Formats: sequence, C-alpha cells, structure tokens
Amino acid sequence: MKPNKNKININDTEESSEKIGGQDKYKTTGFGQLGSKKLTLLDLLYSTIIGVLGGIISSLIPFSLLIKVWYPSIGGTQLVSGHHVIWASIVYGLTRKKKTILLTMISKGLLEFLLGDPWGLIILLVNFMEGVCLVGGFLFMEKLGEGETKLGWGIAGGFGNFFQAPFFWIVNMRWRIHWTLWVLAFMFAYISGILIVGLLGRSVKNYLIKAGVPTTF
Amino acid sequence: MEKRNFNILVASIIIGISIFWLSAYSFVILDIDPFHNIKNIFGGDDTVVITIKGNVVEEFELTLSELKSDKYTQVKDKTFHLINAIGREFDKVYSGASLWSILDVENLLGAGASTFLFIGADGYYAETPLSLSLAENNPEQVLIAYEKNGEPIFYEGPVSVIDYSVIPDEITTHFTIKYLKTILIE
Repeated sequence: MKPNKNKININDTEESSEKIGGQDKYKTTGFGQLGSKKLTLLDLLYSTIIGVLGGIISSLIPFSLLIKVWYPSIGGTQLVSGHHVIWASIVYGLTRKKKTILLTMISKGLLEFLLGDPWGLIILLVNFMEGVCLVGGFLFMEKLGEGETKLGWGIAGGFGNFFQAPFFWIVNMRWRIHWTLWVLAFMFAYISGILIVGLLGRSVKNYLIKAGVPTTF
Repeated sequence: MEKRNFNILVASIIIGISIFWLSAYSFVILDIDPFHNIKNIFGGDDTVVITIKGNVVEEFELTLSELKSDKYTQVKDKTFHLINAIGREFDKVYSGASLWSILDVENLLGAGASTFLFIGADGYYAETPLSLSLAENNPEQVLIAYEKNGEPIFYEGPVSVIDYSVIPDEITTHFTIKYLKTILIE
C-alpha cells in the first residue's frame, strides 16, 4: 500500500506537545497537505463551527462582569475583550492557514449579527478587521522569526484584539472622555489580546492537538 | 537571563507601572471610587447612589429606596425609543423615577438653574448638558431608571434614560448613563 503523500508526520515539524531537545513535539494526527495553502474541508469545518461557537459566546455571555466588579472605570472591560478573537487564533493553530482566521471571524461576525448585535452589520466588518489585524500580527511575527513562540503569538494576539477598541470609541464619539481612560482602554485591549488571544489561544491549541484533534498543516 | 527574556520582563514592568499610575491619576482627577461597583452590589437599598449638586439650594443625596418611593413620580415599564451612534433604533423598557419630580418635590433648583448633566461613576458622562425645560415638559420621558425589561438593574444602575422624542437631534444612547452617580445642575 502506497504511503499517503498528503500526510505529514507532525513529529517532524517544530510543533509538539512535549518538549524534546528544546523543540515541541506532537503525535501524528493530521490531515496534512505538505504545506499546501489550499483549504481543506476540515479547515472550513473548523472555521465555521468554532466561528459559530465564538459568535454565540460573544453575544450571550457577559464576560465584562468579571472586570466590572473590581475595576470601575469605563474601558476596564477591554481586559476580557480578547475572548472575541481567541477562536480565530485556536483555528489558526490547528490549520496554520491565515485564511481560516478570516473565515472564523466572518462566521463569528455573522452569528453576532443574526443574534441582534446593536451594531448591526458593522459587527461583521469589525470581526473581519480583527481577523485582518491578527493575520498581520502573525505575518509580522513570522518575519521576526517568532511565528510559533509564545512571544510571537502574544504580540500577534495583541494586534488582533487592538482594532476594535479605538474603532468603537471613535464611532461612539467618546471625545469628551478623559484621555487617561482612552489610553488605558487601548492598553487593556492590547494586553487582553496578548493574554487571551495569544497565550491562552496557543495553550488551548496545544491541548487540543495533544488530545488528538486533527491538524491540517 | 537571556536578553530576549530580560526585554520582555522590562516591557512588562513598564506597562504595569504605566497602568497603575494612569489608573490612579484617572481615579483622582475624575473622582472615581474604585469600590463603587462592589458597594453597589453589596450595599442595601439605603446606600446613597445619586448626588444632585451644582446650582442647587442644597446638595442632595438619594438612596435607592428613596428613588423607588412614592414621594416621586414613578414610571412603570415604559418603552423608551433609543438611537445609537450608527443610527440604529431600538426599544427598551424601563421603570424608574421621573427626574423632574425629584427636582420639583425636593425644591432643589437654585436661582438661574437651566441645565442638567448626567455623570456616571465610571468616568463616563452625557454628551452635553440638557435644558431643564426638557425634563419639566417631559417628566415621564426623562427617567432615573432602576429596572430594565421588568428586572432590577443589578450592578449597572441606576441608569439615566431619555426617550428619543425628547431629544430627536441627539444620539439618545449618549445620555443613557450606567452607574449614574451625579446629576450636575448648572
């Protein structure tokens, strides 16, 4: 029986669930494509299912309650805003294709729109732009040789989550609000991106791969 | 320590210190009480929630139980038509006390008082001061709400709310102030 050329042994890649000689190592799970950039059915399924899940959770669960109790200023809830984008970073981790980031965010945006988001269709644009920023972050980090490190994922996640904060504050015309609250809100958005989208997303992705979820890279 | 890790550590410390001092500065300059929301959650109905000040005969503090009392005109389950910054219109049902009835019953207005401004405990405040005549002429449409859609507004309240019909040229959501703490009369 001929070996499947489309399968790659993920043990040979630098990704892994165990540290061996300073390198991460994963068990073989994937529907590999030998670096092909074409989307597989599994890529599309991951993007849509996780996007829909993200859309439901983003719309219906008030994560801001986690912050409001102990941080009273407006903009403090940006500290948990990364949960809106973590879905895209998880899918990217499983597929290593940047198109899936955009697909996930578009699916998520559509769900939020259908669930009656007060921003209407603009929420779809915001999700798409967050995806674009996350793709830009990962590309930038790859150029710096940090594409798969925690630092790289953290900074890319920060980029991915940053767009929405100034966008909503500007669209909402919050000019009258004190400048310190603007600066803090944007810093919180970036930090949330680092911690939730980047580091938590990377960690969830690693646990999923460890658990045997098929990758497609 | 590797230089890369050292740089990450230094960046984290700088960001942490910046956040601490910016937060402290904003709390002081905007008179934000860091424990406001905790007090709101754990405080009873007799905790002071709103202060009316500025051009008033005497600064007046209002507790939640006073706000709900029959001393003031109570508006129950009234539908408010609102419009947000992108022009999207929607309805919300609020219950609360009429702002004008509070000012009127307590005889608070000082000589020449002409506007009111809602200020939240989180540093957010209404876009512009509004004429007191709007509250006087539309007593049931300018509300200090403590219930939304029939449920008590748990930790975000009280909330100021003004119907679109009162300020048709404004973005009404810019006057819906959560964590309402001060009403400034000028």
